[in-house]
Amino acid sequence: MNVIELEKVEKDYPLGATTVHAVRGVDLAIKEGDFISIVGPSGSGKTTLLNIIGCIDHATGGAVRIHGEDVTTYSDKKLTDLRLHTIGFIFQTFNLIPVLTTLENVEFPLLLMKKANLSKKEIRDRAVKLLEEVGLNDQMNQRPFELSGGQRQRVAIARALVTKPAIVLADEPTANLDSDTGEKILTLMKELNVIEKTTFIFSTHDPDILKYANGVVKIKDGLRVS
Amino acid sequence: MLIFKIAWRNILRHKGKSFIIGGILFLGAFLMVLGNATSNGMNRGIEENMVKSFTGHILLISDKEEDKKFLFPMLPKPMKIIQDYDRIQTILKQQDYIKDFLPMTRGGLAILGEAQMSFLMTYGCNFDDFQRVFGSPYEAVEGDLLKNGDKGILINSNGRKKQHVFQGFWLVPEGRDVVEANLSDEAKKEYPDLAIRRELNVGAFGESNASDDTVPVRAIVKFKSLNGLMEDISIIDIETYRKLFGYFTAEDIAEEVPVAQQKLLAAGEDDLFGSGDIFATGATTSVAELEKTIKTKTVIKRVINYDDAAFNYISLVLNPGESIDGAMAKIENLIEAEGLQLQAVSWRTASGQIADLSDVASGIINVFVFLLFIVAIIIIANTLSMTAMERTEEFGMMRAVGARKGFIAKMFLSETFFLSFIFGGIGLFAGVIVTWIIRPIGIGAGGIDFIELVFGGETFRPMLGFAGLVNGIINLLFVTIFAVIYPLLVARKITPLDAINRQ
Repeated sequence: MNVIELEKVEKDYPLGATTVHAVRGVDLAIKEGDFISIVGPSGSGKTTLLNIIGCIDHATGGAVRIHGEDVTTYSDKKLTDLRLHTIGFIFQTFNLIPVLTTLENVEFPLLLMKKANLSKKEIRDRAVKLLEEVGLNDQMNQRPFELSGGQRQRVAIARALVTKPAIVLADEPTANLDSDTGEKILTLMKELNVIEKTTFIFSTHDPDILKYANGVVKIKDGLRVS
Repeated sequence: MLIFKIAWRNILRHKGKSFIIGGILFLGAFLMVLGNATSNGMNRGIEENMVKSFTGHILLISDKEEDKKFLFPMLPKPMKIIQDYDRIQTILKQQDYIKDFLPMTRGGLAILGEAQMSFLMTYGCNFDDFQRVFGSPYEAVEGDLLKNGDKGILINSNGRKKQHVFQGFWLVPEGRDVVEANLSDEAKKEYPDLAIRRELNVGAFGESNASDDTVPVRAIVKFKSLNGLMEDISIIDIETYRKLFGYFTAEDIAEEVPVAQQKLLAAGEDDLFGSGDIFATGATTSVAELEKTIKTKTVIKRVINYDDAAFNYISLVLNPGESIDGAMAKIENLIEAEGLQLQAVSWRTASGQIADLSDVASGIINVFVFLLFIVAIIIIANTLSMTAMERTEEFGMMRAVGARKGFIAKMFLSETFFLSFIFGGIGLFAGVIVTWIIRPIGIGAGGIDFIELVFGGETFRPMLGFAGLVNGIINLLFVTIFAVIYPLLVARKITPLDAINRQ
């Protein structure tokens, strides 16, 4: 079953008097449990495509279906709820809440999920378990500025996974990490993909990390080339 | 709870901006409290020194009276007479919200001098009643205050100096000598050749007549506060006033009493029960004589009731805690229900320019506080907007992981209200403390009339009641709410894409 379906998706940006065509009629179908890498040179449209899939950006044309539902017509509130319950996001620059500790950052999305009716203990247990899985047992009460880049990215991964989303999107998750840390992060993501059957889609232009993917989508000048 | 936690930690994280916004809120709240306390102090001063001491809270005048600003006019026109005072006073005595009331007259006197003519506002009343109703606001500087039945005029100590400049004579109470210590600088230069007068030759212009007469000066008086503002105001006994202005006097309409009844009325208990002259040998009045006089129709004396004759207005002093607006409504209903030929006027309306000046001073403070609001709102809104934009990544990321716009708004509001609560609260508290320190000390008006009016008396004492404090809190809330609206919209509009683009 396809978790994500993109049909002739387009994204145009006005730039002064001209229009930039960032994504031009991309078709894509991603199945549950896929570990897909979107590759392409800088400015090819990888991040834009990822943002459209993650309901962070709107397509200017075509259809985006998640679990079979066209999300292009969703209201801001519905899109926000979709991001909260279905999609986990790992950003290039970690983006943690600076005033919260590692543990509180991971708990944050769960605290927003009022419909889930989770108790404080359940929230705490789930966040602690994930932080243990990403190897941050000793950093739970530290603030983001006290962590290394790799540690922050692991917190971001834990936060993206804590809601048990069906889809995790990662925009160049290893771009700001040293190769050793990057490898550890990708190994962790792959493990979770295998164990939890979580669908992973990540953008990269690093050919070394493609070995982890079970599918590669190549983008060039806003077009899917393979 | 999560929102409060994030909000509080953000305040601590952005200490610089928190202190800027907090400082403005502190200053705003502090000045607002002081402004309120000043305004309250002024109003209280005016109430104590004018309303409770001279005007009363509400004044009743004839329904035919057109000029409602009748109490301190520049050019006093004769006022209409109140009809049926006897019935009115019976009704007023039954009203539980009225503490006391006093019927009075008001008119302009021309002082007829040798060189030129000058004017004096004069108020006729039964002076003992005046002192009772208004808490003895007058004290005699020279001479004796009027007592029931005394005839004469009370001249303001400042007014005497003014009259000396106009008329060239120095007024001294009847039967008294010049008190050198009380002479004005100008009068001292003329002393001992100073022209002295112990009575005033005055002209009065009533509704349908003009007359002039000589009125003895009974005392030189000082009003307990705002004396400078009351310098042109003189008090005259009611009967002299009525005569001057051509009204019926109590004596004119006094009940005619045969001499026998008069003698009976004049006789004491001892007279009637044997120990007095009435039955004693050589008594001035015998039973036979009484029988004789009872048959006599000749009237030789009148019983005088001062309340029987003409009055222009009635000052009502309300019970403590009664609102003027509430009492006005009650009295207007009463007038209608009883069919009284009256209209009710608040002291502010009746006082005209004096109340207007007081309102202007109060208005200036309110405008100052309002401008303070605006400036505070602009600065806080600007700083908060900058903060919102600087936190685009934080807000955008929160939105990306599932925080709704409402969450961002609540978080932002919480931060602002925390600041408002803490710094504004300290500002309010500081304002209360400063008010509390200044009140017993007071600030003197330095003898300047306008300042006295602004202060509501010779000494300004700021006053902050519970209502003033609540008003300060409400004002602070308004400032916070108005200041946060625009930045809140900015924060709410931040999208996850904005955060990514910022990176």
